[in-house]
Amino acid sequence: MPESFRRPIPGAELPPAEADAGRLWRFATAQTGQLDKANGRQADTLEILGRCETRDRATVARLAAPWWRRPFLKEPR
Amino acid sequence: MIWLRILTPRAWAVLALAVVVLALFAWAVSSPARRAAAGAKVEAAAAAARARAAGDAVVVVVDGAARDSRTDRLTQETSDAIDALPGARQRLDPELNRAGRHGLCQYAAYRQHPDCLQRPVARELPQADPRR
Repeated sequence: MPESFRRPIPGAELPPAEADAGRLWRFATAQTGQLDKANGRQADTLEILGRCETRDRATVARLAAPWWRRPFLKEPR
Repeated sequence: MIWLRILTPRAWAVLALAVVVLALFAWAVSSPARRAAAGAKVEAAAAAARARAAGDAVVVVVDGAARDSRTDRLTQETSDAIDALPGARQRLDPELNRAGRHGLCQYAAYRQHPDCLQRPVARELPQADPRR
């Protein structure tokens, strides 16, 4: 798993105490962007894990198969 | 069983013992070699799997970085569009700002923010109207 995935996605910058309407909307926009990034990170993590699990299953199946069947089994990608 | 008489019983015993010793020797020699070969095979498979996993992760990370860049660009464009509108400078009720910041300070994302640590935001808040 990439090292960068262990760092949390930070929230958007906290709006100032005297925020105007524009600042508030900019905060909402930025926060939604950070949410998109966090959801993307989760999807990426599941993608990497899914590929690892598929590869693991194929490797185990190859190792467990009798020698005469191994050439006919799919090489794990 | 005439062939048994080729050797004396003692000679047969010695021969049997020799066969057993030879078999044990062959097993002892081949077993670590077999184990080593199997270990090397597993290690090679694991190394190949690690290399493929690293390759997969790089592809996913690069795609993710491109997606994050698009998100940042969209955020910037939207913020610029908001700033360009006259309504963006509209002031907000200070109580509203205080209540909003107080709420945000309760979340893990901002709990350690200097503003949240320094200001006793909760004490500045007006009491909530129980009728609402």
